[in-house]
Amino acid sequence: MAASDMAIGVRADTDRSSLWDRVRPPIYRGLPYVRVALVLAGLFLYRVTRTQGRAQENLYNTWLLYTILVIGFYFVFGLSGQFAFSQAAIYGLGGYVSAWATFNHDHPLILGIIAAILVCLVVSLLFSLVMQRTEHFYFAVGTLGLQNVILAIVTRWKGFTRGSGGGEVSNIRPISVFGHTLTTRFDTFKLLLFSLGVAMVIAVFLERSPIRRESIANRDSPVVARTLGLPALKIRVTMFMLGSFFAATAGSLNAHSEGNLGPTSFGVDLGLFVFLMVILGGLGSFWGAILGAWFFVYVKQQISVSQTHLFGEKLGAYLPAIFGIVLILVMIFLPDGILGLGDRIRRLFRRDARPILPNWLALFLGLARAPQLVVGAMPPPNVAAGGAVEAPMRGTPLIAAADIGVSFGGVKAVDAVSITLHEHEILGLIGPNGSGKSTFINAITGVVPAVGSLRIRGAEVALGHPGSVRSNGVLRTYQTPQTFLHLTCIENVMLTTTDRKYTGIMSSIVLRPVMLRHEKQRWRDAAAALDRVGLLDRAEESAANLSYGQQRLLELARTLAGQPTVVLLDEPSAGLNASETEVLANHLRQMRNDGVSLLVIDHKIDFITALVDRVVVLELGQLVAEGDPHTIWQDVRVQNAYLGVADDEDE
Amino acid sequence: MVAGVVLPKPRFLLVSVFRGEPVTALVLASSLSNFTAYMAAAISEGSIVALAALGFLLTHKATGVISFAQGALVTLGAYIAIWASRTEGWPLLLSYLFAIVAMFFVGVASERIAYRPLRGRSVHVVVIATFGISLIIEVIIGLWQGTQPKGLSPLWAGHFELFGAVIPYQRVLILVVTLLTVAAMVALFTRTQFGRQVRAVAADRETAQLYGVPVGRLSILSFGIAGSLAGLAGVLIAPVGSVDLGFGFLIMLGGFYAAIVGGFGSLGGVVVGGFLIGFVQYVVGSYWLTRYQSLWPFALIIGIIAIKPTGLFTKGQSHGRL
Repeated sequence: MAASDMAIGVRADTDRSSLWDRVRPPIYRGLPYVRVALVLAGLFLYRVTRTQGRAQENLYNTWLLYTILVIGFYFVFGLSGQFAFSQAAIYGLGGYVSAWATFNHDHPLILGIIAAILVCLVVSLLFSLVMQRTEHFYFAVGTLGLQNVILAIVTRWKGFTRGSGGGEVSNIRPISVFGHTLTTRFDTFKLLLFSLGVAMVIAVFLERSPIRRESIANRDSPVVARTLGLPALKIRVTMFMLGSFFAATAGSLNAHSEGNLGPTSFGVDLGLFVFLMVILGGLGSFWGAILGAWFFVYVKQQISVSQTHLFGEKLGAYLPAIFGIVLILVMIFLPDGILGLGDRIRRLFRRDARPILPNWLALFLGLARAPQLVVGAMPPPNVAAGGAVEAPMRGTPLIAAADIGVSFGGVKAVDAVSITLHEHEILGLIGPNGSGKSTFINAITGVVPAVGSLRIRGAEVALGHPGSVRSNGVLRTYQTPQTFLHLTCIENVMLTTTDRKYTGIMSSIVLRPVMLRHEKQRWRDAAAALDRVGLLDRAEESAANLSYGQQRLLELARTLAGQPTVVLLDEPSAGLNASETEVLANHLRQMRNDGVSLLVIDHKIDFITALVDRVVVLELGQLVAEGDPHTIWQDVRVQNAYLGVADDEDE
Repeated sequence: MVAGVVLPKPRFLLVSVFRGEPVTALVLASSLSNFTAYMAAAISEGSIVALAALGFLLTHKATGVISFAQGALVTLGAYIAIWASRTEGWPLLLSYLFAIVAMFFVGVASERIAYRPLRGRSVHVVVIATFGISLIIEVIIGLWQGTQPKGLSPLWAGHFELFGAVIPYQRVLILVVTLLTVAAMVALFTRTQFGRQVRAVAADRETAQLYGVPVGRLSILSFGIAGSLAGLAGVLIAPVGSVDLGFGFLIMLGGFYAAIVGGFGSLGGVVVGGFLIGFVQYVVGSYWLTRYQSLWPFALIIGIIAIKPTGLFTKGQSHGRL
C-alpha cells in the first residue's frame, strides 16, 4: 500500500470513507441563524406590543446593551476561562473615548465608535501581552488594577473628559445614521437591536469555527493544548481583545444614546455583576447572555422601585447584597445556569419515547438532540497480527536528545540523559518507578524546564517550547489520558490538525467559506482517525462519556490525526486489559509501518518485549543500559535497577 | 492607599528630573521634612498592606483559594471598632481588641458561606463567591453605619517631629504591630502543629489529606485568622485617615500587589512587597505624576511582571494560582 493512499496515515477504505462525511462537531448542526432571526423578531415584537412608558423602554434598551457586553464576556470568561474584572471598565472606557473623539462637531460620529474600539483593543492588547504570561490570580488582580487605572484617568484627566472633572461628561452627541439623528428611544432601540443582531451573528460565526474548541482546550488544560500545537498565548490574547471589542461597542452605543456618562456607571460592582449575568445565563453557550442580562436588568429594576421594607430600609438599599447572595446561590445550586436547567429538562423529555413536538421545533428549542450517527459495529484493528509486515530498516537519527537534565529543587530527576530515536524505530524506555522516564518526555516536550540539547532531524530545537517541538512533528500521549471532557470526541481529535490555516478570529468572520472548507477537511480527517481506533460511532458524543480505555483510544486517534513523525507514549497500556493491550500494540505497529517513530514508556514487560526494537533503561534519572529487548534482562545493571542491589555486591 | 492623607507638594521637582540628578538631590530640593513625611506614610501603608496580604496568603496556603472578601473584612473591622468606641463608649483598647476577635468569627462565617459549600468546585467559583460575600458585608455596613466617612481615635495619640516632619505615633504603632505580627506568623508556620499542617496542605493537598491532616479544621481556622488580620489592619490604619465603604478594597488591592511583588509564597516577600508598594505610591508618587499617585503600585507590578512574571522573590515556579 502506497503512502499516497493514506489520508492522515489511515488506509483508504471506500466503504467507510462515506461514513466519515456524515459526522461533524455537533456545534455545526442545527439552525443558529434562524434562531438569531427568530430571537431578534421576538425582541422586536415584544418591544412594540408590550413595552410602554419611558422607564420600561429605557430598561429594554439597557437589556439589549448589557446583552452585547455579556456576549463579549462569554468569550473572555466562558470560552477562554480568563478571570477578568475589567469588562465593565472597558465598557466605560469605550464610552469615554467615543465621547472624546466626537466632542468636536466637525468630526463624523462614526469616528467615535471606531476610536472607542481601537483604543480598547490597544489597551487590552498591551495589558494582555504583559499579564497573560502570569497565572490566573495575577491576571485577576491585574484586571482589578486596570479598572482602577481607567477610573483614575476618567476622573482626573480633565483634558480627556473636557472640563468639569470628576469624570462626569454630559451633552454627548446623539447618534445619527445616514443623516437621521436618533432622538427617540424607539430609534435607539432599533439601533441597539441591529447591533445585537450583528453581535449575535459574529458570536455564531465564532462558535462555529475552530476558535471555540481551541479556546476550551486551552482553558481546560493549557499545557496539553500547547503540546498539541495550539498557540496558547495568541488564543488568550485574542479572546481577551474580542471581549473588549464587544465591550467598547456597547460602551460607545451607551454613551451616545444616554447623552451623559459618569464613573459610577462602570464600577467594580458591574465588573462582578457581569460574572453574575454570564454564569446565571449559562456558560455553555453565548445564548445565556440574553437571559443573564435580562435577569440582572429587570430584577435590579424591581428591587429598586420596590416599596417593601426590610429592617426599616427599602429593599433597594440591599441591592448589591441581594445580587451577591444570588451569585452564591446560583453557583451552588445552578452551576450550569439557566441554559443548564434547560439541559436537565431536556433530559427528562428524552426519556419519553413519543416526541411531543415536531423534531425541528424541539431541535430549535433545545429540547432534543441533533440526530446521532449510527455506524454499526466497531471496525477490526487494521493489522491482523503483529509482525505481519516486515519492519523497515532502522533509518537515520530523528530525535537526538543530548545531556537532558531536570532538577526539582535539589533532586536531579533526570541527570544528563542522552537518547537517540531513529527513523522507523520503536524505542522502549523502561525503568523502575521514579527513575525519570515521564520527566524525560516532559523535558523533551517542553512541559518542565530542562537543560540539554535537542535536535530533531538534525536541526537544533530549543527546550521549553512545546509548540516548536510539535511543529517539528513530535506528538505525545500522557500517563493518564489527557482528553478534553468539555469537547466532543471529534473535536478532541480535530485539535491536533496540522492544517492551522484560517483558525483565527478574523478568518472565521471574513473568510468564512474558505475557513469552512478547511474545517470540513479537518472533521473528515478526524472522523477517519476515530474510525481507525474504532470510535467513529462515538464521534459526536462528549469525551466525558467514554470509558478509561476509550479515552486512551481517543488520545491515540488525536495523535494519529496530527500526522506525527515521532510519537512519545507515556505508559500507553496502563489500565488496559490484555485484549485492549493487544489492539493497542497493533495500532502502534501500524503507525511504525506508516513511517512514524515511537518512544514507548511502559511497565508491561511482555508488551514492551514484543513491541520495541530497542530499549533504554533509566534508573534514578540516569541511563544505565541500552540494548535488545530480549536480551537486556540479562544485564546485571537492569536486574539491579528493578530488583535492587544485594548488599555484598560491589556495584 | 487611604484617602485623607494630605501631604505637602514638593518644589523644584521638574528641574532635578530633567537634569537626571539622583534622588538625594531631589530630596534636598524638596526639603527633607517632606521626604520624611512621605517615607513615614509609605512605611505605615506598606505595613497595613502586608497585614492584609498575610491574611489571604494564609487562606491561600490552607485552602488553595484566594479570598476577595479580605477588603470588606478590613472595612468591617474598622467599623466594628468605631461602633464599639464611639457608639457604645467602650475603652479604645477594648474596642480594638473586640474588633479583632469579632473579625475572627466573621472570617469563620465567610468560610462557612462562601468556601465550604463550594469546596471541590473550580477555584474560579469560590473566588467569585468570596467577592459576593464582600458585597454582602459592604451592604450590611452601609445599613448599619451609614455611608458617610467616619473616623476612629488612635490608640496612641500625639505625634513627634523628625527632620521637621510631623509623624503621628499611630504610624509607629502600625510598624511595630506589623513586625510583631509577621514574627508571630512566622512562628505559627514553623513552630506549631497548625503551621506544619498548613504547609503540608499547601505543598500537596491530597497527600496531606491521606496522612490525616484535618483540612476542614484548617480552612475554618485560616479563614478565622485571616479575618482577625483584616480586623487588625482595619483598626490600625483607620485613625490615620477616615473610613468609608470602599476603604478596605484599596487596601486589599495593595495587598494583592504586594503579594505579586513578593512572588506569592514567602511571608518575608510579602512584607518587602508591601513596603515597595508603599514606597512607590507615597514617595515616588509624591514627586512624580502626583495626580495619578494611586496608580503607581499598578505601574510597579506591571513592570515587575513584564520583567519577571513570577514575582521578585521566587525561585522557580510561583504558587500564585487562584
